[in-house]
Amino acid sequence: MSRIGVFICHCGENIGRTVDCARVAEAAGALPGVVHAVDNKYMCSDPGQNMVRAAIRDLKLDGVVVAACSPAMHEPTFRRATFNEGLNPFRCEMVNVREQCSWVHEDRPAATDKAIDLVRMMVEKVKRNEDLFPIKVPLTRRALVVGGGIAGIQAALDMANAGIPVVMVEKEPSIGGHMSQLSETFPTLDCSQCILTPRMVEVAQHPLITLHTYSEVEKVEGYIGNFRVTIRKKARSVDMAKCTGCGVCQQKCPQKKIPSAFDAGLGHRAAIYIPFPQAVPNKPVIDRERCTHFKTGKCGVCEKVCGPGAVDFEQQDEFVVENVGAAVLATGYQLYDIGDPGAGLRGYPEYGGGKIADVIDGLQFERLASASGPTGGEIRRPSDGKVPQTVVFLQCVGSRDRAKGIEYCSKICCMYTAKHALLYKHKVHEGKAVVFYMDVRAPGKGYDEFVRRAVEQDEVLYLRGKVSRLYEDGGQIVVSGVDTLAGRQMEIRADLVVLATAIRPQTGAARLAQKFGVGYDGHAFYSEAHPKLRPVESAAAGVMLAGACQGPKDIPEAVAQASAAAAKVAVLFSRETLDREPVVARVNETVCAGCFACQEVCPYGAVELNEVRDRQGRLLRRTARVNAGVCNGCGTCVATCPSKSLELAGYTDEQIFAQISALVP
Amino acid sequence: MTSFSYYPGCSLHATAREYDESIRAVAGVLGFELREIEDWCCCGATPAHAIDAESAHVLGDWNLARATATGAGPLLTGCASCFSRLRAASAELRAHPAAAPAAAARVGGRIDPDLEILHVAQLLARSDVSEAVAAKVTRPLNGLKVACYYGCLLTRPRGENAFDDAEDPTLLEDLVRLAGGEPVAWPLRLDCCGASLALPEPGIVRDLSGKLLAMAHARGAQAMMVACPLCHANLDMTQPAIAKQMKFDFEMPVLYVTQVIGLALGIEPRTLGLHRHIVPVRVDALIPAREANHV
Repeated sequence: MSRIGVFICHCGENIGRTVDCARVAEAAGALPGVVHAVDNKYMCSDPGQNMVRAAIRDLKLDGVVVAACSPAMHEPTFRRATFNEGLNPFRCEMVNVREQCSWVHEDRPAATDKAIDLVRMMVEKVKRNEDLFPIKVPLTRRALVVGGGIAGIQAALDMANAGIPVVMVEKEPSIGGHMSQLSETFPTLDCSQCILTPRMVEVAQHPLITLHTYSEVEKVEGYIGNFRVTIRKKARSVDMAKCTGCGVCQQKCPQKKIPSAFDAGLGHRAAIYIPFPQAVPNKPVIDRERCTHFKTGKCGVCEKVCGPGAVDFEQQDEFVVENVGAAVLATGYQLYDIGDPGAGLRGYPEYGGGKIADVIDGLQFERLASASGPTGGEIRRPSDGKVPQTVVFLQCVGSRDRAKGIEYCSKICCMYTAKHALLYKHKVHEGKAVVFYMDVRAPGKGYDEFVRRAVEQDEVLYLRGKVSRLYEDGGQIVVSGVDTLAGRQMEIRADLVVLATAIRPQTGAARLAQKFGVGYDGHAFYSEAHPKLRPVESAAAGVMLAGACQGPKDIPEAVAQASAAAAKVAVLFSRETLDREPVVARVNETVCAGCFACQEVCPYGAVELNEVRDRQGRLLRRTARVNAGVCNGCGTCVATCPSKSLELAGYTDEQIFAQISALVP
Repeated sequence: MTSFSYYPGCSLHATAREYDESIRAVAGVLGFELREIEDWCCCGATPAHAIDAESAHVLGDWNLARATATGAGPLLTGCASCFSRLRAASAELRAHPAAAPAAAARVGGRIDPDLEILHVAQLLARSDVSEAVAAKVTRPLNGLKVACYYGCLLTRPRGENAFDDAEDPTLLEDLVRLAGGEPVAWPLRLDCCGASLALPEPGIVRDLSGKLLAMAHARGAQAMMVACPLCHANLDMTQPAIAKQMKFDFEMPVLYVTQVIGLALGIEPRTLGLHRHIVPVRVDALIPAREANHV
């Protein structure tokens, strides 16, 4: 006969108001197998927990039922109390009489009857509970960072400096990300490259960081603590070991008119190129789609001029497998394209759809303002190289516009637009800077002060309203809009228009998330495990998020999140082994027919092949086996198994039928 | 023979007679029967819905009930405002099916809630009709540079009731190409002509329409094409006054979409009512006869 204790919590008034807890205790006490039943105002409090412990000790309980709030809230609390009194924690169960009873009912007698039913069911289950033990999983103390922008760099350096070996994967030929393209950074106007490039070098030189540039994550297998990641190292066509980074190849390459992605299309590069002078690694890559040799088989100039003989036209993509225990995704953002915004979004034909040369986006303006940019930091417009005398900045292009498919605020544009207008005024003193805005959102340390400085000191004209149309006329751009505060239509003739286009996740973000089992929203921004309390972890165990891949962010926020992600990895790696909940599926190998229907439905790849052999080692038959380290206990296999050879620990058929029988005698 | 209910609206029986004439002429060549709906009334235009939504819907319902009674195919109209009001009334009925019987009783007739409402230009742009037009083109426009002007109500309000994309419509340009002309890229094709302010505030119309004419001319247009009688009135009838005010050294002929298509189909300019315009449409100068004869 079982010796079960039942504890009913009032949760202050939360449960007690609707459920007659004393009556529930009375009814529970009369159930067969229950030796103790009491109610208490706050079971989760110290005295409440001590009641449970005392009962286990004094009455030699072999099962505990706590009727209170959601197990998501306090199951760990009561299981810990149970464990501390020497009883297996999996013999303690919670009945949710708050969310699933008192909060959703008004009729007190009926709610009390329901609470009694729920308790009776759980008592029947607990009678059949068995001792379960956490599964110990070994741990690879090595972390993967996907993305080599400022967030990835920060996470990698923090982890490496904590002694954790790091593997960094960057899809571009150099690390540095968008931050390397920026001119100066708000609100302090320090030079972006000056603060970033030393960190890039630190990554390259850190003994604990393995860097894979021009590489992408191909495949992810395994689970927290034990991921096996296959990385595709795209063929660079340059032998990294031989190359000295002298740069002669890119000087001699006859193909020089290729728009440079680093210069946001405003500058040019060769077909063999180092993306920018401070690139890490500072070694070139051949753009095979534009290289004459790859297109026609002719040329080969770079191969001839390369002293060390590093150019290798035959190089193939390579695959590298890295074993890691955790990953930080830091894949960053891209800007919304007004001409070709992609599936589900609408562009801005009314702004010329990307066809007007002097209508540029924020990153292009950064390159114009940057000392390392195509104009050497002078603001000269793309069409004819003239210094623009009137520049109009449009905020919220794409963002906060449901008609275009993006309802969210891109968060950083108010600040960088103020910075752009201010930088322009600093460089072209007599110039006129006009900003069209919907709202100025500048909540951050020193941020609003910065915007006020642009307005007050630098005399940037802020007009509240949207622009309906941009078109070229007589070498200028007509900006047709409305000033909603003055209540009048505006028509401004501008020499240059800068669009603060929406921040979007990188192309391929969703595909990468699927590989890691990370959730993402309708725009493919990665979802955090909890919006307030777990903002840097994804719901996939062992996979953390950093930077703009999770939502639009500025540099300080991206860096803060990256450091937090690194800390989360360090916490994970502080343990010898990982404990996993023992609520996993197990196969009864004596009845398993080896049909492997379970393997097909398992979303986690936890079902393995098991060979049953006799003493002579002869193969008798094959059965399924569940890798407890991978299983998430979803139960899909249990429902699928045609021979009922699978069961879920803690939720066996016997337990569930006992609960049903208790409800429907 | 494909038949349509036809709702001309007030303008097409008065100031825009030539639009009505050209619609009927083009329909004739394409073998479409137009059944003008009996006892139609004002569509409500701008004033009705600006003052009272109820009145606006009753006017629309009246005409929809009369159109349903013709038993012909889709309801065809040439006016941007009529098009907008009829579609709005129809959408209202579909959005509130429970109120439909009362609406029908009020206007004394059954209303088919799924009655299709087409603007003439939409019909011409429909692939089967476009193909039929292409097969019958006898006098292509030989690259005539045409600025297509949409104005306000054809594409707005945006959504399922709209004629084409609200920001980047291409329907009229496609029709110009179909007629052998060359649509001009110009930025003001969706801007306002001044609409009904022609009566209370003619100065505003002169400013707004003047801007349109000047821009179309600056971008190389030899003619403008419209699909709305009010746009036509403002751009054509007001043009002499605008030209004087803005000191134009050019004349900009303004043609209805059915006049452009009608010319390409070889219909006589007089049949298309081109002689009724204020700004003369010199067809032989616009479409040199020499090249036309080669077809």
